[in-house]
Amino acid sequence: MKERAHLFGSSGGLVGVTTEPDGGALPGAPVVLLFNVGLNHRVGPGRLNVDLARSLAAVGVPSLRFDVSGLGDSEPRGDAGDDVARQVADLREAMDFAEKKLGVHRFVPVGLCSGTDGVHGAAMADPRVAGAAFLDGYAYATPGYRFRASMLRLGRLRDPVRWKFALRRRWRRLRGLSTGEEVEIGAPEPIFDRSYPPVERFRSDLEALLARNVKLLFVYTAEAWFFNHREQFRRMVGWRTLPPAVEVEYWREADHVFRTLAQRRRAVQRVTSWVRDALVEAPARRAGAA
Amino acid sequence: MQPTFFGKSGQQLFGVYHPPLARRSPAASALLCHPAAQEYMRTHWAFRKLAAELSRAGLHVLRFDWHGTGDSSGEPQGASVPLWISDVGTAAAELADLADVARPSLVGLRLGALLAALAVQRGLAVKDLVLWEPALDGASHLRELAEIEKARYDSLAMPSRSGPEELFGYAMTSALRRELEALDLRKVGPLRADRIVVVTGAARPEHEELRASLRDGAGRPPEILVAVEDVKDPTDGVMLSSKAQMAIAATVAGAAA
Repeated sequence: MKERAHLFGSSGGLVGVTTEPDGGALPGAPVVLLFNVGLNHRVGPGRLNVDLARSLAAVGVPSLRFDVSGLGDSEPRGDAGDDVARQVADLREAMDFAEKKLGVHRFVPVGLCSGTDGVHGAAMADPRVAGAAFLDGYAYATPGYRFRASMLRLGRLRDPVRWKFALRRRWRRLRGLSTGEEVEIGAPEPIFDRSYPPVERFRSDLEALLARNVKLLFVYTAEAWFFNHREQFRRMVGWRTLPPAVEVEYWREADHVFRTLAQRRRAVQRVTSWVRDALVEAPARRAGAA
Repeated sequence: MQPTFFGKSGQQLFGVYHPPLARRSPAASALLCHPAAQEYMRTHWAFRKLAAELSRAGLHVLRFDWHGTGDSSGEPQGASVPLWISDVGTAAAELADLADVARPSLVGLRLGALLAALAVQRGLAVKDLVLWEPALDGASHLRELAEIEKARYDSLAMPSRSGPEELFGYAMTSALRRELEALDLRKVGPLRADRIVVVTGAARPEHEELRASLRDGAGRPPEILVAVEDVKDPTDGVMLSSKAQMAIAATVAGAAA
């Protein structure tokens, strides 16, 4: 595995690290693009992006992890645009750079939470995107979601651990030790809000990507907004069956940023195996058979 | 700003070099030592700002990731205190090459301050040694991190617990834990630095312990520089700090003048 540091982008102000497998990339392997999660710099929460880059290199897949403009070590962009527009522009500049540097023309952006906005936008805007992974990406409440959420709330009433935490929170508030700012699952924080596209547009976008043979991975955690069952994905989009190019998982034990080592390993392994199986081996096999 | 990998093949460290943006004679340099694990993530932005401030004051600046952390090579499971102390020397040698300055000033935050002091104890020649909210000893530092982790996770609706060889979601082997628990800033003895400065958001009794125990190359105790932040929380205060950065930049740049 070889890692190199780079300055790139139209203004030369984006900072990134390429991770290349020893002995070169597998034939037909794409370049995976990893970038900021929230305000964390490019290494990701708990070093998630570094672990993922090295895990991918171990199976022959190169990657570029970088800071989008204005975050981490990267300079702000001079041109206008909201957060999503800037993410998309940065992702496309990352593809331009990696094409020249690594000689690869297929890309797989991986986003977590607000990063999925940029992944979605880049996938729609750029035909070089061959696959896209969304960790806690867009979700839409369905009747099933609301029913399960109600049951979950009822179930919590029987959970002594949750009572303990709730009582402790109340006690801390009464003693003035806490301002009551703790955030419950799914409760939007006042400083952080996102707008999802209407579900009809989400569906038509997915269908446009599938028509381009783009592979899609969606992993939702227990802290995802508006999502609480794997089957919900198909229902919220309005599909009778899940297309083979779309993989969906719901991890009820995982939190939003995979805080523990065990959760992070699971996320790293899942994304690595998806890239290897859906985006490397299949095209390589086809090329071999042709 | 120039991101770079340096050091021995297979053990490469990641660093960001900030060349001086103002002319200064004689040339001067500063090496910045991050805290570890979760504190490293939360203070990355503060280090970028501090490096930019020093660079504007005309210093060559290098900030780097410890072995097994950030973008540097290796896994946290392979990290050790001797390896991290040797990282300071490796980074100092890289900065000396880039800046053509023999002795850098050394700035370390929290565990980074303790490791920086140990690197000086082992013979690294430096000008100023700036200990920014230093971890006084490894054992209390680990306890404090565990308490912060517990408070933060307990406040979540879905608390997730670290495993036994894990702290704040980062691997912490029992061997590394033992090594860290054996460290004590009050017992490092005299340090061959021109000056030792402790930078803190609030003066505390433990700083008097440092004044009683630490000595610079001329036998003087450390100066205590209080830079009161607008944000009072000790962790967020550092992450969002501006006062401490300005104070450190003025101290290091002033000494280098």
